[in-house]
Amino acid sequence: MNSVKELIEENNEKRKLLNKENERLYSDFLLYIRTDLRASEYESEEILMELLNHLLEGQEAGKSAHDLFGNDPRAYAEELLEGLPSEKKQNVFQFVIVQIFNQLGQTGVIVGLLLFILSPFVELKKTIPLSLIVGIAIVGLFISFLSVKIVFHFIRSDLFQPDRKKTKKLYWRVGISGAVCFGLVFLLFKFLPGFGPQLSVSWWLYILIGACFIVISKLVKWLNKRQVSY
Amino acid sequence: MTTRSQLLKGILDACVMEVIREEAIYGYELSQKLQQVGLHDISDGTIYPVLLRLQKNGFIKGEMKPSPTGPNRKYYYLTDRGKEELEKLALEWMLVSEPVSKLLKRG
Repeated sequence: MNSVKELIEENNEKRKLLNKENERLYSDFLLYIRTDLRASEYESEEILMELLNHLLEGQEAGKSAHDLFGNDPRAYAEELLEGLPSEKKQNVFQFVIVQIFNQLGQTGVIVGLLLFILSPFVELKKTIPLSLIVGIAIVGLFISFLSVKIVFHFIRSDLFQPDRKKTKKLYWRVGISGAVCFGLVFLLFKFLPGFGPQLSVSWWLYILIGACFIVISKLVKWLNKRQVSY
Repeated sequence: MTTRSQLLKGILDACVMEVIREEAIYGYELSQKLQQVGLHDISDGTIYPVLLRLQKNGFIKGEMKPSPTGPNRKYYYLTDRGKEELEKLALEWMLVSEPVSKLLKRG
């Protein structure tokens, strides 16, 4: 059986064989299916591969993507998504765990590095309240999940449009949402009342804890993959 | 769901399963076969939601494997449950089709 990764690689190669018009419509279709988080990833890739094979064979017989997707590709995609089995709860849970640890780990490493670089130039507060660390971690995670949702929503609303001038608008919308999120975190940092024990955390401790989180995330991912291949 | 679309769905399910029963087949080939037997109104895209539904119900099974011409394709097989369902649908169709044809012939 092929893995999801193999299917995606094969898809990338085969897509180059489509003519321009078919490629455009198929790519929109592919994004629409992939940015939908309901359906099982493996089954989604499988049906995308089937449709790509179908298009390629039809292309040789002089058919177009419209013969396959019909007049309303979005409605057709929805029909397929309803038929696809949903992702297993266990997989969703593991995916979320991996993302959380990875996010926190990366943030820890970056904060540690920043402190290390800045410390000779700026006088930093020696201690930081525990509440602030926890608060920022939770809000940061929330915002990063929210931004994935928002970006996916913007991408999806831009698909299947005949004119692509809208793409520029899409970048603006994503950019502005990003700036708003960043501003929110900054405000939180400034105004969240500090309570709980005061911690003095050195730069290397941030990096060490961050690295541990990243290792945990990689480990969970690796264990999950091994389970799937059995 | 309207009675009308439910009726059509059942008929389409039966046609797809019958073609798969004859031999394991992949999507494009299946749509060609259906059009060859005269079902020209079935557009290329129609079969994929049907295939997904039949898989979900356990009537057919798909398997990715290399085709004689090279690329990997998903071939569909009829399961034992599918065989039973097909028998049932075929019988229902026979009971209905003859009287309905007679009735609608209009003289």
